[in-house]
Amino acid sequence: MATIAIENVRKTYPGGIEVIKGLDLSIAAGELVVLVGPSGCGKSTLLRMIAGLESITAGEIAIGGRVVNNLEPAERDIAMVFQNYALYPHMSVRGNLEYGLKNRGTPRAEIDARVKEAARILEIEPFLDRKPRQLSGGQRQRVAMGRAIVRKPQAFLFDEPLSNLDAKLRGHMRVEIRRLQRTLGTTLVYVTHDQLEAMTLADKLVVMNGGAIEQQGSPLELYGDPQTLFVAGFMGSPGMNLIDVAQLRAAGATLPDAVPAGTGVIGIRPEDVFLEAGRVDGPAITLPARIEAVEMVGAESLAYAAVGGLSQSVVLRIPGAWTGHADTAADLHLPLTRLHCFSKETGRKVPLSAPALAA
Amino acid sequence: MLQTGRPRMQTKRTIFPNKVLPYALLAPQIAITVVFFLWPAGQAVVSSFLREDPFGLASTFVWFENYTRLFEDPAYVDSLRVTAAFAIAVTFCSMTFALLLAVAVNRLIRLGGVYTTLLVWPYAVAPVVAGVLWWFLFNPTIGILPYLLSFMGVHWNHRINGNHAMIMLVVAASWKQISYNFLFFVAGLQSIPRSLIEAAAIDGAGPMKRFWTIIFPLLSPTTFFLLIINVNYAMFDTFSIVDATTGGGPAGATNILVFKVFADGILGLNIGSSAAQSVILMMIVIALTFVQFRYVERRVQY
Amino acid sequence: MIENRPWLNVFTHLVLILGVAIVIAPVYLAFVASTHGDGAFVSGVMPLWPGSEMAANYGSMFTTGMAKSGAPPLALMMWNALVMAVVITVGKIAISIISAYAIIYFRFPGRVLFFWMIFITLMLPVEVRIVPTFKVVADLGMLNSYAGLTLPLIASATATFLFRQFFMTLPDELTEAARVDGAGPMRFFRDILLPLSRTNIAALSVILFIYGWVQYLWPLLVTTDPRYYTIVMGIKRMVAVAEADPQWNLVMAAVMLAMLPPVLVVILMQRLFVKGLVETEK
Repeated sequence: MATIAIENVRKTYPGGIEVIKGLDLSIAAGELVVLVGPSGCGKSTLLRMIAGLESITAGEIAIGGRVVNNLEPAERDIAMVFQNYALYPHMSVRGNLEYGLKNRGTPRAEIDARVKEAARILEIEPFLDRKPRQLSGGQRQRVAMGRAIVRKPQAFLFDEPLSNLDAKLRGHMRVEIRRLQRTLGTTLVYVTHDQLEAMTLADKLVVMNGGAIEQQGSPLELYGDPQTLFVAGFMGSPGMNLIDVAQLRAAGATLPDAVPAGTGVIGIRPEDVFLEAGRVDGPAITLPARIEAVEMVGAESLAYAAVGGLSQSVVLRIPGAWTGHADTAADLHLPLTRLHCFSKETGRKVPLSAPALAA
Repeated sequence: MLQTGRPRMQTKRTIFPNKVLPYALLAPQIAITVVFFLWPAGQAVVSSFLREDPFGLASTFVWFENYTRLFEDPAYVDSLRVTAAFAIAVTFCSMTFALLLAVAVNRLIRLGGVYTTLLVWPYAVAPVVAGVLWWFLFNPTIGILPYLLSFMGVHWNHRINGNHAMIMLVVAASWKQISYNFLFFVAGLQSIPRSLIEAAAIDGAGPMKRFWTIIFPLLSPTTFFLLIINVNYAMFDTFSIVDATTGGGPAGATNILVFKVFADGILGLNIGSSAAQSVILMMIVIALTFVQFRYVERRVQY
Repeated sequence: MIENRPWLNVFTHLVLILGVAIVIAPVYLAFVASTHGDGAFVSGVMPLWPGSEMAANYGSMFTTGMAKSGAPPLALMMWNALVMAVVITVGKIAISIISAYAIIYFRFPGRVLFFWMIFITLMLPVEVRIVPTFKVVADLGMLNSYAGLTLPLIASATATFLFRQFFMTLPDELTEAARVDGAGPMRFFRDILLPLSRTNIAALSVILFIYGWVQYLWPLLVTTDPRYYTIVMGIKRMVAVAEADPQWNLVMAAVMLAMLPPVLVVILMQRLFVKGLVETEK
């Protein structure tokens, strides 16, 4: 269990492409930190820099207080789980688990004990003498985690470990990883592009974009209070409705004074848009719209509403099955307290003026 | 290093940082390459521009004289002609026969494996052994083939008839090469999607028509590749067949280039001329290799 | 097949049977010849059915050789051929796999140059540099030695390319996992790369064994001492008897024994052989 401190770290590839642009991040001991972002945002590169698989162009990375910039991966006391698992195909499961310990000269009895322990935790005892190719995807995934666990490292580094599994198994393994990390208490840095996975796993969520951190915090903080347009659009499925103020004005709508000057885009979560005025407390924006399509997903329904003058339809999340008809006119109510205002130029949040809200 | 981004020079994303180890790993291969390949090849190029006196004590720089002499020498021009005829004949015979057998095996649903086993082993037969086998069968006194040919009015004697000697060599060299061509043709045929052939059958093309309009054109990468390999084989690997049977005779009728280099250099000790011949052969191999690799790059797209 | 044409199937089998007959006939007749006494080859047509002298012919060739033409016993020549084939096989694989490893898993100045140096050997078969290569070997004092028979043939562009090709297909994560697991370059090579290359090594061994066994020109150049003759080049000595027909029965016994080991290798390891052949030509 160790802290990881990343200070002003940069990564530039030959040819001058900068993939990590002066990034700071501190990870507490025992914390589960998820790096999430679209492909190419630098999240995997950052993880590989922590692992020692990519060199560090500038800045400093310290694991457990020890600067590791020039240490080999093996000397950093970390363990890694790869997206394609990278199990040694010619070794048995036991061989795979033992390999790292053997290379470190761990005594035989100790190796056996640790392999036994890891196999018990992950429930892979029946497969110990099989080759990886005889295992299913989920079993291979467990072996890959077992290979990390037996090492008892200071930190685990997981690089999209679930993306090769089918949806059902992915959900199951997600829960299990969470449980495992709680039990072992080891610091874990987890990279994924799946925001649902990120939300459910993280103690601390770090959203990355273009080689820099957009926002970090608890999953609910990021969901409830996104600081940038990017985070607002990235978190949640379906994502936040982002409405262009200029289009809205052009269509003749007027915005209340509570929306601060300089707002280019207003955002609202699908679950915060209401059809019935009675369900809204306090001031709200009302937009005349036409329901175009409804998707029923069981516990909830998603309605797509066209608002005159807007290029994108507004999505509403309605609990339960929706009883109305598509292609009907309806008013959308957007409570001001749930509104997020962003500057179009900087992409950052513009705070609502509190006095206006109170009124 | 990274900038030399030709596909064939890729490395791994993850590399080991050692500075000295890679040189140590390459040392044995490079040492042998330099000592036994590059240095002698360089020597050949140098001596091809020199003339040694009869005692081998002094040599003078003669520019391209060794080369010009070669091409003025009727024996050498003859050898070029003989080599070309031999290479074309061997390539044509062994490839045609192999293709016929490969198409036949490919038609079979059962027993294909048995026939394949019975057909591939000559790959392991040394060319000299192939030469001696057919030399024996063609023996003018007791050979079975001259005996059979005599019924057709042919009086076989490869010891005095140059054409007979050439035919014998072509048969021996082709016989050994069939297995190789056969294997590659079978692999090529199996890589043609079955759906294409079925589509042609539905379009009303009979077996012969399907072969010439669908299978043969799709097989062309394999055919072209084998063409180069066979020419290479006929020009260089058949030295031993000639050396053990005809010795280049009668009267130079089977004096192929590689045999002539050997005869002039090792037996005749004519170093300058032999070196010039070596250099010309090198050019031929380089040209063949170049064509082959150009073609391999195109094969990728196929 | 797509349509059912019985005559076409019959014809297919006829073609194949004829093909197999042509391929096998010379070897059958050679075998027959090796089972007869001297007298069978004086006049008339060569024998077409096996005779009774098989044991005598093979026995005398195997243990005493053909004194008349200076050929040593076949046992010795086969032993030499075996040594040559095995040393060349092991040598080529060993130096090629480490060369490919260096070129793929390291980045260092001169990498491209070394790669091209190895590539060039493809274009320089012994046949085109006979005299100067002979000179080098003579200067190094390696004539009439196993070193002279094998060492100059051990460089291999083909084998290097094969391993390079194979290494390129291995996922990078495997190397990364090994590095995280504390494996340095040599340990990674020994524990991961070498075991994963097993099939390729086996397939290549079949091809290289044959390559080494059938060498002719090179042993002819570097050996004058019959103690170092290999069976394939020794056949030349047996047939090159001036002004006379060779002793066919004995020559054919030698021919049969010269063919046997590599042919057995191909037949018994056909799958590996085909894999090796097709992959080395890529």
